[in-house]
Amino acid sequence: MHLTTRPTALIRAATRSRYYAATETPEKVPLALIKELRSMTNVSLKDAREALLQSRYDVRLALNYVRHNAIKVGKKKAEMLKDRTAAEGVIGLCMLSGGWAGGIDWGVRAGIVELNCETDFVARNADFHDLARKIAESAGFYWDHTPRDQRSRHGLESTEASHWHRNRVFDSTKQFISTFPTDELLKAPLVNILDAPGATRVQSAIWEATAKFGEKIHLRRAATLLHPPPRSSDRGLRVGSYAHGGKQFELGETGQVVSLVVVQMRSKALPSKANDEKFIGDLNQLCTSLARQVVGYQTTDVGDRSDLVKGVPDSAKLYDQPFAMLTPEPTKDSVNRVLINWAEERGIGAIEGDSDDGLSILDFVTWTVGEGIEKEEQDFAGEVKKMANKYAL
Amino acid sequence: MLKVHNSVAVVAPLRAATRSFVTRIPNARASTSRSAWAPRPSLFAFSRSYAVFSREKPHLNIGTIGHVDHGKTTLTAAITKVLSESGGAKFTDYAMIDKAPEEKARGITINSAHVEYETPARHYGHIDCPGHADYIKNMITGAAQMDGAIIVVSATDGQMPQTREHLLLARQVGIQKLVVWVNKIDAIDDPEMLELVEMEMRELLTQYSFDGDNTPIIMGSALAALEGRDNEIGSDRIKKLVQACDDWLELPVRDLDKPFLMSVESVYSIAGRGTVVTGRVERGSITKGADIEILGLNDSIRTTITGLEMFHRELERAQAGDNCGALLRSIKREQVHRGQVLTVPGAIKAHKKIVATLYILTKDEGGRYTPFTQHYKPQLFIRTADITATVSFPEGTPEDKMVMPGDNVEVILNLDKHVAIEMGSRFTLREGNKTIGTGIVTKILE
Repeated sequence: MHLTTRPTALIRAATRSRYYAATETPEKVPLALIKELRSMTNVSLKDAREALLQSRYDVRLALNYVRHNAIKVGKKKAEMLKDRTAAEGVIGLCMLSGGWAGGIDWGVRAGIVELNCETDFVARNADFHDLARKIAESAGFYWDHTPRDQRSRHGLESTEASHWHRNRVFDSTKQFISTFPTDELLKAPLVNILDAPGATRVQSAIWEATAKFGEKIHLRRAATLLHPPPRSSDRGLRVGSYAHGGKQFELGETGQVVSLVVVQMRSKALPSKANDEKFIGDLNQLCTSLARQVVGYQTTDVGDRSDLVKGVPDSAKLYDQPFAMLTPEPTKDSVNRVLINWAEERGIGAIEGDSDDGLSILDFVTWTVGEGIEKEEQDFAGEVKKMANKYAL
Repeated sequence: MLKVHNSVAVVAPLRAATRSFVTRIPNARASTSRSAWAPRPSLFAFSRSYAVFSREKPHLNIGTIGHVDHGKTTLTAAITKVLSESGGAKFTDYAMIDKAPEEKARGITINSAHVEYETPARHYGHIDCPGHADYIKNMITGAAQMDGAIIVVSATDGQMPQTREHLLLARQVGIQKLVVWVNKIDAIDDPEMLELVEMEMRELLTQYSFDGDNTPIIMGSALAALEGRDNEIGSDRIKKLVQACDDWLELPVRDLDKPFLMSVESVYSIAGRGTVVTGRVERGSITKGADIEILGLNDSIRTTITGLEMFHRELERAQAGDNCGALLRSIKREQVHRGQVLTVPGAIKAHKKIVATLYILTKDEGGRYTPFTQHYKPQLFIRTADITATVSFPEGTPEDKMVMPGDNVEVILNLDKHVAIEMGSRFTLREGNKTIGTGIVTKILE
């Protein structure tokens, strides 16, 4: 546990005299107003009082002041806390377009970010989850608006912990999931499709949260899943997603472990399924099951399509695993076998000899909160002892 | 749960038995029971969780919950300093804390370091609670325990959004009473602000079903106490806080003071004497001639204990911690089974459906490496009982909910046989030879 060195004894002496000296009475701020302001904003007592003093007790003005001040306060605080470890947090996921669903195909588009904080008390707070979701939305929204040279300069390297699979079938020149450099994302406006326009940047929103929670809050990584709709109507892409141990929002979700899986369908019969609601529903369920499978089993690779019927329980290759996360009925059959059967039963199976046909998995990503961050060992008794010794007589 | 043994005098008459009816009392090594075999407390001061300490005063486990910068460490250091000036505190190194062998075997790491101190009335073991998930895990596995808590709030910030999470945690782990410490009161300009801190805190406490009106809220400066200045907001307030802990936080009932309960480990038929059950007295005490009830698995049976024996010696009274044998009046060997319990009639009931909070061990801790969903059927082990349980989730949970190793989760367990179980009972879940999780009962359904 860190204890920031407090301002010098000089200041302490000053505040002490203020606390005790009745002669130098500080200006009274009505408590009811402070309370009202705090219930609206979660701002700290000290800042709430200051805001009201500055705005001459006008709550509406004070609210405005709080908004602007929080960013400033948060920025200062963030500077103070920057050397601390933030290993807790959530993964935010925002699926803006899930791909083929019968009607107009908008392609696939999703953002995924990891937002860290110091304790899981903060990581459990609904506002924190909402912030992670919003940043994920921005990541999904702005990737293709980032100048092209910027994108190539940053490259499409995978982060140490994200597993991505180079697609050899669909289009070897493109990956689906690309890293969004966090320093670029911080500059991007915070997208807020559901609420009123936010008119704030991602960085400012993080500073605001730093002021609110008083912990180091860090945008560790971000990625975007993006692909335009395939040109041929015989092809469709669909994305399955799963977020474990988090919150659901109207748009997007959060979790401790999050995955995205890109599935391709290729069949002459695909256009005929455009109005088949059962098919679309089943497809969604299958894609979600795949995303759950990726989270549930330690998966590093999509793997090759093989003749395996029964899955291999310890396999890190997605195609070879037993599809135990299949809803509604888990199975011991391999993922590969399930996909082949699924496609054949619905008339979009592969034509013999063409393995690219039918249903195939193109890419996936899974992120776990705090993976790769070394947590500091907590030694409470030791800290207490150290502190007590420091002041021992 | 911390096992507190009372150092009472040996009450059993140490008359050598002329004829022992128990010849096969399980010894420590041969025992298949999960609970460690404990020697007679009067011979060895023995505590599973903590180092040896004085047992003359009642013991309470206490924790600090609060924001990282609000001064939990400073407060705890200040408490020890103020108390050590009156000769009550000593520091205990974490390395000295005794870890139970079975916990090592299960691979659970105990992350909570603790500090001990004494007031004139009580002995305290003080832990920090740095995170929600970590504490829940430690609570379920029995590695850390808070009977009461001090919520630390800084006067400059007031309660923060995560203060709600702090209170939620306290609620979730069954803490009934809290004490609030408002720290850093020398760092604010307007003393009136303290009224607001208090008002808001009382409201929040009430909102989270604590006794907001009566919860002691003590204000001061832990740093002042530590630095030995401004006694009226420093050490005096720390003394007040400690007093409030003594007065307001309630002591947990000691195992010895609870109604008698003994788990049945083995059943023997001794020619000429009758049926003898052996096992460990989990709590309470019993004397020869007492009426008892045999509970679990089948219908309950009432009978009388006609003899008690330990170490081939007859006893008049057996108490928590003893491994003993009990001779039962007119009971056939086939009527009693391993996994049942002997208890004072009506003290505990057998149930089939419970709500529990589980911690699912990770692969590294020796648990599963894949998730499970509803309808999962592990074996539930409690005391000597081994019962198949079917997992389902509380109403409103999505049908396809998936539980991953490392998760804390609330589940409903349907047991295929009745077992003596109650709120707060701890158990483990196993699959094959693997412990996959531990749990604590939070509600009884049937």
